[in-house]
Amino acid sequence: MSHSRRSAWSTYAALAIGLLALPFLLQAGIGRSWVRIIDMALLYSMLALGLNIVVGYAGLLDLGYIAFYAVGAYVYALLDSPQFGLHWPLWAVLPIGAACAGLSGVLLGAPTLRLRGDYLAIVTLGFGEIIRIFLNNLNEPVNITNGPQGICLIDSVHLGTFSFSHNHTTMLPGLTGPVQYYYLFLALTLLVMFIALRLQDSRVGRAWAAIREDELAAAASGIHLRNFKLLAFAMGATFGGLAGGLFAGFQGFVSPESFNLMESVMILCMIVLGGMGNVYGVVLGAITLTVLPEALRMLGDWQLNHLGHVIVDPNDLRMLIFGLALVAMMLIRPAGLIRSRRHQREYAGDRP
Amino acid sequence: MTELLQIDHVSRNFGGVQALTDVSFAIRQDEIFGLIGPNGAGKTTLFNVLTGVLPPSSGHIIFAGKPLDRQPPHRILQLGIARTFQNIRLFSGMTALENVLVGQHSCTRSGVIGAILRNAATRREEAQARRHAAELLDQVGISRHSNTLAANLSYGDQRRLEIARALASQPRLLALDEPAAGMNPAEREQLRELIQQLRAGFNLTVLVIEHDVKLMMQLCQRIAVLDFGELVTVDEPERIRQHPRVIQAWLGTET
Repeated sequence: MSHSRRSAWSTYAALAIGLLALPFLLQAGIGRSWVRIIDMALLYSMLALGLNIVVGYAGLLDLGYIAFYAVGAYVYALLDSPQFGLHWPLWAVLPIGAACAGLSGVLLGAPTLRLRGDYLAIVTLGFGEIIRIFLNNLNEPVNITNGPQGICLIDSVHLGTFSFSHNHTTMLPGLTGPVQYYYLFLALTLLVMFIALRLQDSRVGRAWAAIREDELAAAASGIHLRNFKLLAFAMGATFGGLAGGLFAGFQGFVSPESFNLMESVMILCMIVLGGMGNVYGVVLGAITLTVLPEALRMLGDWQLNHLGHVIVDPNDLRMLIFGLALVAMMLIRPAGLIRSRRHQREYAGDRP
Repeated sequence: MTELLQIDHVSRNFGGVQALTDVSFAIRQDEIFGLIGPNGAGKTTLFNVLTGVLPPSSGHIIFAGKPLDRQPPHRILQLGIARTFQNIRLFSGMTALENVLVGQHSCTRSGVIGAILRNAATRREEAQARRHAAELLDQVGISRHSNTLAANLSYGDQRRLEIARALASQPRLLALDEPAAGMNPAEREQLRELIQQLRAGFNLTVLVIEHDVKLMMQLCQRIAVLDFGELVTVDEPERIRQHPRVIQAWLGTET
């Protein structure tokens, strides 16, 4: 008992050291751009964990999820940029963005409550597009979102005078902007994971799982379908809004283009690939699908270095390999990289 | 003898099809009440109207003095009517214990904040719910399967689990929709004993739909007979057996 507990602790300690050292190793090893890629992977992990509450826990197929990311990003952008000359502090802006996203989750969820499966997917897809088109056109008659040009010169994520975008290499060698963002995003991703895990194994999580498995039986067991579906939409959207706000501060620029349907599909892919309903699987899926396309980009450099010229342009192949990888995954491990116990049976078909 | 449930002139039609026509009867406190009738007689429709899955086209249902008009299923459960389903509807990806925990949803309170913080009140509620769930599994006789996925349970055990899940909400009326379907004679006998045992142990009133007339005659204190959506008669099993329309419409030459 104490031995296994000690070995568990040493595993956690090794993992923690590895995660803390990762950005420095990446900078020293394969290049500084990779820290930014990992930053994005963490943002996508938060997004995927949020969508996982809606799709993986409550079983509500939402294809317009990126809209909540957009709401969070635009709230941050409007309250922390020269657009309206506002520069609100982070502790106000992030919660407001997350709350606005959560509220829009309820507003968009409410009319879809009676829909299931395909129909729900189509309506949420439409809602996602509505938000994007709104952002695209809200520059007239009153200019709010600056239309398709987007909002730029957004303040970086900052706490007091400490800006996460500025290098602090004098404080610690190698402590660049992206590295600081990495720690911030890592902390928040761990927090979101913690919340997702706690929710899963609770009265609320069981109610969601019951709705996902059998709505009629769930209602007959006393679960208020409307309230718990809206709760799932709201929780998922809140995480989306949080990630959106961080994205706006991280990039310093937002435009409606970043929030198209393809992004929603991509986040759904991360969940399906990683293992729907499984928190660790979802994070693994998000990291894989963010890193893989970037890694495939390196194929071109490799050809240039070793063969002298580019025979096959990786940009042409990237999406093809990516697609093949997804198809192969679905055939080999249909329940995802790390399977959720609750979901296993659904993919097993008629096999006992 | 007090009446727990009154079905008061309930009709239900689906388009032109009259599934229930002016059905009225009452179920008394503490009795095991049977509902029989040939296929398509409207038994399950009556069940669905009772549990809020379908609204009645006309008529009322009064439970413990309160009208159930247009209440959604989760409200009806909270008022004290729990049900099982004709074609078993368990949460098959969850363990037996988790199914019963979901059944306790209406008796527990903790929400999102409690789930995240896992404070003392939440932990206490969760521990109590788990203990209660384990007791219920024991009472229906499947405690050894508490960590088995519901989908992997045998058919008879799934039926038992569904009853345990329904009991978890601490109902006053337990409504069983064909609980013995697909069981062999020995299992049916065990089920009869279980239902009688639970009725006494939990102070329940039980409403049972069943095809197996022999089982019903042994199990129920009173039986209502439905045919073509109309109530034929309500009476004690012995008298049901001798009722001419029952013999003609349902029992045939069996007795």
